[in-house]
Amino acid sequence: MSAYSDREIIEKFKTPGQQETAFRMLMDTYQERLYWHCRRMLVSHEDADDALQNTLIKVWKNLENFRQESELFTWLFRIATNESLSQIKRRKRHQANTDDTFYDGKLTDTLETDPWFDGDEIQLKLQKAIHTLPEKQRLVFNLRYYEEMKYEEMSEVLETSVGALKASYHHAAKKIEKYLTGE
Amino acid sequence: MMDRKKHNTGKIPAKPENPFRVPEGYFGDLQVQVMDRIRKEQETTVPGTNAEPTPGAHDQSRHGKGRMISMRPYITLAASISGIALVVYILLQTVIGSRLNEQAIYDLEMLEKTGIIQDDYIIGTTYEEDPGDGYDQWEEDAMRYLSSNEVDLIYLIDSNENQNE
Repeated sequence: MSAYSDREIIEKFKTPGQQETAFRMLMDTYQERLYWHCRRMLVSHEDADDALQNTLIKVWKNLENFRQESELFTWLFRIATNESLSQIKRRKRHQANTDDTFYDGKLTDTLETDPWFDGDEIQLKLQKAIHTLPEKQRLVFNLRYYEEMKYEEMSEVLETSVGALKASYHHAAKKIEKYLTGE
Repeated sequence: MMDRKKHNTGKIPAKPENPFRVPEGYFGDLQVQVMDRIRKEQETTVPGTNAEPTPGAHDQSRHGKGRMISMRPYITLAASISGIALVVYILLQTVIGSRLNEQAIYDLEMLEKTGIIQDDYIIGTTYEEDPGDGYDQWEEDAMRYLSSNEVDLIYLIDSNENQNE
C-alpha cells in the first residue's frame, strides 16, 4: 500500500490538472482499509464492492470542498460507514422478512460456501457471533478489533462520545464471548 | 479453501485475522472501474460532451469551464428574468404614457368647453413668458386703462368724428 500524506493528497487534488493523480493517490492509500471495513459489515464481496465504489464516487465529488476540520481518513470512514449501512437497508427492503436480526443472521449463512471466505472454524463462528450484534455495536467492534482504531478517532467517524463507544465495545465483546462459548 | 481448525476456546482471538479474500487483481481493477464511473457521470452531467475524456481533462473542467457550465442554468435564468422585466417595463411605459397623454388632452378639451380657459389664454401666457422684440408696453397699458375705467367708447368715437368734420 502506497502511503501519501493527507495534506499531499488534498493539495494535489485542489491543483488544476492534478485531480485524477491525487485521487489515485487517495485510492492507493485508503482503498483497502475502506474495502475491508465495508466487507466486514456486509460480508458479501459484491455488496462491499458496491458500497466502496459509491463511497469513492462521493469522495471524488466532495473532496474539493473538504474543509479538513477532521482527519481525511475519519471522513472517508464516515462515508464508507454510511454507504455500508445504506447498502444493508437496501438489502433488507428486498427481503420478505424485514426483521433485522433475521437478516443479519442470514448474512453469514452462506459463508461456509463463499469462495471469498478463507477463515477457519473459529473465524467462521466469530463472524456469526459478530453478526448477531446490533449494527452500531458491530461497527464499534469491527473498528476497534480489526482496524485497531483509537476511540478518539472512532468518535469522529461515528459521531459518538468516547465513553459510549467504550461501553458499546465492552457489551459487544461480552455478547460475542457468550456466543462463542455456546451459552 | 477453508482450513478448519477444531479448537474453539470460547474467547475472542487476541490477534485479529482477516478471514475474507478478494478476487485476484480486484484493487487494481477497482481504480479503473471507479475512474470510468466518474467519467461517465461527468459526461451525463455535461450533456453534449462527446469528446473522449483524457487524464486531467475533467480536472480543468471542474476548475474552469466546468464551473461555468454548472452556472449556466442560473445565468440563463437571470437573463430571462431581466428580459421579461424589461419587456414589462416598456409595455407599461407605452400604455401608461399614452393613457396619460389622452387624459391630458381630454382634460384640456373639457376646460375649453366649460370656458374655464380659452385658446387665447394659452397664447397669452406664451406672450407673457416671451414678449419678443415687437411687443409694445404702451399698447398694453392703454388697453388696461380702457377696460378698467369704463370709458364710453361710443362717445370717444363720436367726439373724434366731430373734430374731424
